[in-house]
Amino acid sequence: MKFEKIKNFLNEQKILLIILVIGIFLAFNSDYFLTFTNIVNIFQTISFEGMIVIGMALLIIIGEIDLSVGSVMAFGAALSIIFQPYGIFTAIIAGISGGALVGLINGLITTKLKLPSIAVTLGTMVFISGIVYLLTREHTIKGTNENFVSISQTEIYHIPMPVIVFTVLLIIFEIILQRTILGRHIFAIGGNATASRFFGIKVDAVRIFCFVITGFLGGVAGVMLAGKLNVASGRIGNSTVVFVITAVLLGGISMEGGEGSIFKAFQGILLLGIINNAMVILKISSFIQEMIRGLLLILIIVIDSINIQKKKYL
Amino acid sequence: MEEKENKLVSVLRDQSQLIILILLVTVFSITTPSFRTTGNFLNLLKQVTVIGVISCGMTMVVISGCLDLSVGSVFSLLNLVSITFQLRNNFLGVIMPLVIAVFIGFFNGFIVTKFKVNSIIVTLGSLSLFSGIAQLITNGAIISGVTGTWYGFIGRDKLFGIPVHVYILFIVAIVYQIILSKTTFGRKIKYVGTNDTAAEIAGIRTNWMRTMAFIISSVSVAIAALIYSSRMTTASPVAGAGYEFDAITAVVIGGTSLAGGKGSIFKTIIGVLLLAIIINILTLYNVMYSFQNIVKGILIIVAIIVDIRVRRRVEV
Repeated sequence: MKFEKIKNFLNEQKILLIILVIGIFLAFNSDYFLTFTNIVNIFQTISFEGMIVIGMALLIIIGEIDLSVGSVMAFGAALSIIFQPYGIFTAIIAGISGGALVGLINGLITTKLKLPSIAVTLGTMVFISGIVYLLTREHTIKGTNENFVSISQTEIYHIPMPVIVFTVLLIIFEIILQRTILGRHIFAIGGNATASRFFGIKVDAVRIFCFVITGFLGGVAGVMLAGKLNVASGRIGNSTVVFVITAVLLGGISMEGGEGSIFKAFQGILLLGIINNAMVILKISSFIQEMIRGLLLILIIVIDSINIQKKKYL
Repeated sequence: MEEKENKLVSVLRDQSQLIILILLVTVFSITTPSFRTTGNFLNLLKQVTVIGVISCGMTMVVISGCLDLSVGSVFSLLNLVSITFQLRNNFLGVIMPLVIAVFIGFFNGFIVTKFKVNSIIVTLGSLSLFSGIAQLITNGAIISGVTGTWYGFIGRDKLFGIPVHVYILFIVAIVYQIILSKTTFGRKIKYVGTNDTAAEIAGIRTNWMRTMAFIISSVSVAIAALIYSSRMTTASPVAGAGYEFDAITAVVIGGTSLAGGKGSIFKTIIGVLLLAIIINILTLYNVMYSFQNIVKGILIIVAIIVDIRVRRRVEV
């Protein structure tokens, strides 16, 4: 009986355990790993893509997906650099609303024309990437307003702004998902869209909302990323989509939909962040890092699928 | 009378891509003098053969109901493999990419079918995986092979006044079309794409069919990579970046449905020509490179929308 309980607990919290094991391993192998600077560094690195992970988690729970997130992040970054002559505030708003607009387009095409989101967002991914290259004239563009960097470089109690924004967003969306009617509708649609429609849930509206939120968060991530060095280019966000989908699945959210939490997605991105950090500390070549990222995605989707099949035959 | 009209309409609808292609060629030949030069057509053919061979393989995967996003990085990888072995021996330089392609296709197909996973996400992962391997081989550098041997035959030489690589595209297209429309294998792949549960019950080994489609796709990529490395005698770890979207765009605007089960190589070739001509015109008018991506994105979305609309009408 007691053994069963422990087993259940281990099964539920396996990602946290893996994080702990890797953490202990690294702490013994590197003096640098457990320093305050490095831990802040890990959180700062994951915070940009982490914001997108929140949106992607909502989409996967509702049974959709968005492949355009990387391009959207680059789009937000480019807009926030271009609009700087009109003031920092305008630049931030432009970047964020640009991202939300792409999300709206994704959502409208997917729901109103009843198309598979994976195919639609494959199209918008290429399309928006073209727009970004056009906006940046295929170069790396630099901002005109030097104060713009303050949005990402400001530190409160030595904690950088992106980490704070990421944490606040995590809490807000966890509350929305777990404690509001909207959140319950998201779970219901992900579980069974047809049944949800019969119960009077506005399925399309909720789906569009999730796409808009993903675009919005992509915009926020883009603006913060641009604020880090005050530059933007079309090459931003090349590997974002692989990273983000891996993080969500790694956190234990299934492609089947209808289940999951923002906290789980956070665990996924944290684990990925620590793996990345470990690869940097152990001085593994960036090419091998790219390989490992690809392998991880394949591995994690295979495990997810095995779990789904198992559930079906139970 | 009415029946005749219906027939005309259905032919027009079936061959709409071909009609658009003929219209585009006619209009641009009249309006743009630089378009109708021999040099430009030869240039166009160079782009068409590489993407064309890849797209023919991609068509097989799409008909079986999957998608292969890894073709771009597999292209770069095989490009490097070919040149690496060509430095020792021309023969190995031709054979090794084909052999490795079979393994790559099997890897993709095995994971997609055995574990019943979405092919887009798996091949997104293998895109990173193979791109990492490709860059690892040369540490990100460009390598060059031995020039002046028979290795350059397929990429550079001409036979009866036509470049050899054009013949290769023709052979690949005709062979694949015969496989698709005249063999049981082709018919089985279409069944699998239409309804894999029904196909399985009917006794078709659906997993094996799909894996074969992935192998055909990778081998096509190997052939395309051979054409390219034979022409350039150099290899770069990013040579094929973005080819996956070119191939998907070509297949989709040719009229092969992303839902699987339907399509033909002939349609894909028309799609490849359409895409190449649109991009050629953009280049001739000095439109910025980034517009190409915008156009490709729009074409993918429009083609998906048109495909769904047409299918719904047929179903009703």
